[in-house]
Amino acid sequence: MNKLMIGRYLPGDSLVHKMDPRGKIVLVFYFIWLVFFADNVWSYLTVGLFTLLAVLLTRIKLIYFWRGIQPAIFLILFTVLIQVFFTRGGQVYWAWGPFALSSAGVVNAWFIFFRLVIIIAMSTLLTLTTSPLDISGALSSLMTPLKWVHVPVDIIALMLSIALRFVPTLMDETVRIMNAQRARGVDFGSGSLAQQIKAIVPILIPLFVSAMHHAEDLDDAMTARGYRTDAPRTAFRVIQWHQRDTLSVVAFAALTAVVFLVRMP
Amino acid sequence: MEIVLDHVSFTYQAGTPFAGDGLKDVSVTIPDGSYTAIIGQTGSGKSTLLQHLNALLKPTQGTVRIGDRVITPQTSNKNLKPLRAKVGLVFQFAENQLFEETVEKDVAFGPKNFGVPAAEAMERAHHALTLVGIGPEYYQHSPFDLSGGQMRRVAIAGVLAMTPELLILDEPTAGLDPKGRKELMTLFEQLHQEQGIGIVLVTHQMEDVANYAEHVLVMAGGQVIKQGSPAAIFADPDWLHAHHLGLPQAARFARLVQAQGLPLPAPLPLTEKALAHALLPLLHPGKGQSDE
Repeated sequence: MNKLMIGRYLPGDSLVHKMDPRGKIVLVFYFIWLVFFADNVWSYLTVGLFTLLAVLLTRIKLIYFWRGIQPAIFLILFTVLIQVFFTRGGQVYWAWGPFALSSAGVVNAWFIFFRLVIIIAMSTLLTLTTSPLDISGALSSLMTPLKWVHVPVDIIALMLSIALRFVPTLMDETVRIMNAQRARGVDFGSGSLAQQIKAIVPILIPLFVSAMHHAEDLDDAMTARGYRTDAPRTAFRVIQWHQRDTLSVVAFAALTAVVFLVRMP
Repeated sequence: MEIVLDHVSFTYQAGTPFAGDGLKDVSVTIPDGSYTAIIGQTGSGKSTLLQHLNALLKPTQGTVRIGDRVITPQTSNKNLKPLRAKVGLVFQFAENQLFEETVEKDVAFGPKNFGVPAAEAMERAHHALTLVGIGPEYYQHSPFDLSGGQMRRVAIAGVLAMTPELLILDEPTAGLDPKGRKELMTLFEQLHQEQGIGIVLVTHQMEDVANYAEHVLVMAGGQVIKQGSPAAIFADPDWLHAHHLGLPQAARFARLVQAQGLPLPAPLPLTEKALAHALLPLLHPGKGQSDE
């Protein structure tokens, strides 16, 4: 559990870290959408180089990006193998029943491989360089238009930031409860499937109870400090748009132009 | 059961950017059947050390010998159960580990996991509950209906029901009222005296250290910086102060008395009893050993 890099945040002060989180989220989603437009070697090369540039700009060691990709490696290989053996087209080298090895299959498999790696690297970049607080702040800011259709944006944002805040707390608690039960002779991850599922109960119930306690305490503490859901609120952390954010938009526009230029006609 | 830590180091999340030091080159021996107290500032590595004593954590360097089992960084997580049956660990805020429908089932959970037949496990559960002062009227209650103090007792009973040879306690009385604290500390002392159960106690209460411990380990920055008898540890108040630790109240009072110019016999009294004995001669000058 500890070596997982998904969703972790690495503090730093690179250009990417300092970007406006709203812009960063929108641009990363836009980039993922853009990746699906790449359809030949040159366009993949373009998005690939762009990703590499972005990754280098974060000044985070490449090994951590690799760790982000690692858990998905089997999924990637599985998809790639399916592509290789089930695609027909171009020159067919070998065929047996529904299976076939063809030039189109190999090319497609490479593309799928690059697409997945690029998408994972870019999403890892987003989470590694943006603190959970910034992400929830940015999301609530991005959701503001939904207020017109009576979506309780502030409450959703509050729930989101509280949820993010309590992820590490509950993770720590899980570890502590697991250790306490281990000390009482529970074996996690051994025995039959039924036994393993049964071994989860002594973690799940205390964790659930403790989450309820946290919720009650937090509710009391917030009420005591004058929190009301219906009252208008001001913000302490104000997200600001800088020139570098405009520049990054320009960079993405240029990237879009290049991708569409080198696409197959 | 003797526990020997030989040059043990432990790093949290080794190999990630979040790596943090837990223990640094710790070599200590916890003698068979002793009452050992571990003190130190918050974050000094006390709880990390405790989890090495029943192999919940394995050292990243060095070896831990628990009885005749040797735990190295390469030791697999299999077959550690027999070891954990002998070393009972009561975590901080142990009430958070309760989960069963009834109090007695929760206490019997530990022994059952170690292969004790259901009937005997229940018997042991009842015995352990009696020890911690939970009466039969509570056996069928849900543990979540109890008060915080009672929940703590049930959780401790859950560990005692495993009949460990060594009992490890991580601040067992934190957050309890004075009466509850006294009762639990007396229970641990009884188990130690009457059944010869070894006890390792992590605490911030210097009174508990002075009253019960035979051996004290002082930790700072993931290292054991001093060890010895309570008398030896508390002999140097300035050193303790420098490491953000204090003296037991009795010793603090004795120092105030000394500062007033009244002579007290050499070793600083650590417990109220010792203090009373030291003060008595001052009340009856001439009768005591004092010459003034």
